[in-house]
Amino acid sequence: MRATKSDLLAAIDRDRDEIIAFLSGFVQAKSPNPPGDTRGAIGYLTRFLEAEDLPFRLLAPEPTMPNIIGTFEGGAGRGRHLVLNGHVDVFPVDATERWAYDPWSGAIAEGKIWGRGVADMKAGTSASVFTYRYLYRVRATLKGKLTLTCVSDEETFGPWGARWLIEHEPEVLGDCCLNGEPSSPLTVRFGEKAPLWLRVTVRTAGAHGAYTHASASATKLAAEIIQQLETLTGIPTPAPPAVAKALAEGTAAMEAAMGGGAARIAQQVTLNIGRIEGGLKVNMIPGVCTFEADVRLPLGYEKEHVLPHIRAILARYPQATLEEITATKPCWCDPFGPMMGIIRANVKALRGFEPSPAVSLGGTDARLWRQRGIPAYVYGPFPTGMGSKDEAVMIDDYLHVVRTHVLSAFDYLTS
Amino acid sequence: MRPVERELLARLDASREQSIAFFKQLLRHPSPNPPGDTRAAAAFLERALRDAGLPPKVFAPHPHMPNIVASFDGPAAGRHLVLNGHIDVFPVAAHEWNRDPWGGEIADGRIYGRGACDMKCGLASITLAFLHLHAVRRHLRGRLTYTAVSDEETFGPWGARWMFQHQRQLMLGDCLLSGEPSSPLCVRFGEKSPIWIAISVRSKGGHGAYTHTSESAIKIAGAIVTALEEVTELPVRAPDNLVAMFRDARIAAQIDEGCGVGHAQYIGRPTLNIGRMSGGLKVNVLPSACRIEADIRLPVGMTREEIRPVLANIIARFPQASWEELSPPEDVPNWSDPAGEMMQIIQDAVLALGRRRPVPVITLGATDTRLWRYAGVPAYVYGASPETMAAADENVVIADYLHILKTHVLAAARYLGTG
Repeated sequence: MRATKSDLLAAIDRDRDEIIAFLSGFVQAKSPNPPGDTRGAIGYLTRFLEAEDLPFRLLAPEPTMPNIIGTFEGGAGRGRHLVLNGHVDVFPVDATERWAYDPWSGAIAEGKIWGRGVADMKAGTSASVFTYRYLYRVRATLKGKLTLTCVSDEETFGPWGARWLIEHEPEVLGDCCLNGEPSSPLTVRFGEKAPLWLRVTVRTAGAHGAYTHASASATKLAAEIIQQLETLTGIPTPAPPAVAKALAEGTAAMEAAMGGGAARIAQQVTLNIGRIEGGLKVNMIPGVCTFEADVRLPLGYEKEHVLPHIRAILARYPQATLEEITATKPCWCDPFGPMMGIIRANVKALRGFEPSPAVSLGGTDARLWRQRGIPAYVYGPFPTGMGSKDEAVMIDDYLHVVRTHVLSAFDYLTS
Repeated sequence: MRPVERELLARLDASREQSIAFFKQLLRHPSPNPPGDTRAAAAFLERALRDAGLPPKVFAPHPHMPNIVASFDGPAAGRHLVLNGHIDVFPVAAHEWNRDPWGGEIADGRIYGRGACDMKCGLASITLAFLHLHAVRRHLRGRLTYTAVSDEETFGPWGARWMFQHQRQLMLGDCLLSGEPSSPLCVRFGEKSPIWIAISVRSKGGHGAYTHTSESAIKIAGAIVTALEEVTELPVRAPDNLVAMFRDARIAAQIDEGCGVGHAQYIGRPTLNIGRMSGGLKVNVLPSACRIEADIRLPVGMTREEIRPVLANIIARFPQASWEELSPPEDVPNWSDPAGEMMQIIQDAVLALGRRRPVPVITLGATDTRLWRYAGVPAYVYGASPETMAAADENVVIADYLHILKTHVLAAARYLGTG
């Protein structure tokens, strides 16, 4: 490594306690979405940026969901434009769950930092903030530009965060995006499956509970439809060639990062039934039953690939209607592009192994850059406890992610 | 036809519009259960009784669920007939209705409103029958008792059940006549027995895209719903006379005409309704919990004791599921003599009124009449068509209502004999 990269690592080591305390405090700035009010968490970041004298501005088309944009230019001439992205809103907390440490505590214990959002994705957003800080201090040696974006409204794929910035602020586009969503240190994400969310409503006449011959049952029909929709997961969806190569390389790492079976379902259509509600009383045949389905489309396949299959199933149930709640196109960038190579090399130097390219099962804001042809890569901690209880990040993993982001951004803006 | 019967029919013909208005007003006093508050409708009935010189006794162990009882005697001793109806009705999902569920609207010879079939038609009928018979009581022998109760739709503890536990002597008689829906083509002499269960499914849960990491409580619940359908194929051992009666094609055809195509076929078989299904937090979260409420109706010849182990075995195939019973406490399918005296009186009365002789039927739903049968009191039901019961735009044909009122009056007058 060149001397300046050693300096950067030395600075991170020196500031280790501060970096850890920063994330703990960030977790304590509660920002559950819903409802999505991030003013406290954004305020935490802006106070830090101001204290560090770092350039930034706030954009809040929705006043309770502000976004930070900051940009500086390198002093070593023209070069590439790197954009750092992270969201500050987090999943809500289920009040009936008992956590080992209070979900908003940011507790530092057992070698970890605990709390809702620490993995998804305040550790990653902190890495972006520290990358911005450390690179600003050495901007004289950088070519090109670095932009920091800290956004709201991601957890529900809403319109007021990164989506709004990308549509209205060309400053955030750049040549490449680096994001710290939880990928586990074992993989670098170059693409993601896309959600297709549907609502099915079944309506029947309804009747007294004993009169099963007088009316079809909205709940029984819904149960049948759900069982038939499972056939979606058998629709063939072979990967596009570049993706197939990357997935083959990344299989072991994906299994380790996302659980056994992850590599197989990465390139399959999956179906989750997230909610169901039907019926008024035990002794009435229900006249209405509604359920919500969360279909994930693999790389290379858009909703038109599965909708005919879904419609064919529903055509057998005239009592059922279908509504689309949300749909996105799955997309990816070059699994062997320059930034991927930089990240893999840095991790190899830091930890002794090379992370593999992988596909994200869940959605992230990285898709917004990829959809515009801008490569976006995701490297972050393990998603331990994401969306359920006892979310936590190992301190060593967090610091490793900070180091990887700092070094990779540095490499991208100096080579 | 005896003179008093002609007099009663003439009174009913002359008060036709008032009878319709009374039914309409009763519909316009909402009494959905849940929550079960019947005070407004009960006050309406109490006023009618008081205005006729029949101040009722009111028992409200639950302050929102009054039970009304009134009685009078003829000049000579005789038998004791009890009339019964319930004041509460099913709840409403208003967005499903085209008409005002509490409007009592009249259109095309029908009157619309929640409870029209079940059972404000029959309740209005027995109330007016009670008042008309009171007016001619000098011609009657014995005693006539009127009971209008709350808390029936959920078989709760505050209505007829409480009255049987705490005011039993007021409820018992020699025979019971109820206005629950039977259809004018049928007289109900028995009923199936309900067993209600709640099944709770739990799984780990997680992020909606990670379908490989956890089972889905909702998908498992769906599979349980399919598996439970097996109970509808269980063999049934019913008494021979009942089996023969319901195999008679003419009787089955009239039952289907009155109560809906397919009704006769289901009298002797268990049925399964999945009344509620609810689970999951958000579309993009793997659900960790799902709850099913199931309603099984047992025919005469099948008991809850027999079916419990069958249910346990089905649910045991799903280790993520647990279950509990929600049923009302009484256990046994119940019936009175399908050839009993009051059955014949009702059938003859309908014939005398110019309509087809009604056939005996066991209806699929349960009613408070079971409480009288458990006490050894023969109980018969004659009321409106059940076709739109619990559905949106529930309604009754007005001509049927007026016919049912005449039938109740004639049958009661004949049962109590004349002086």
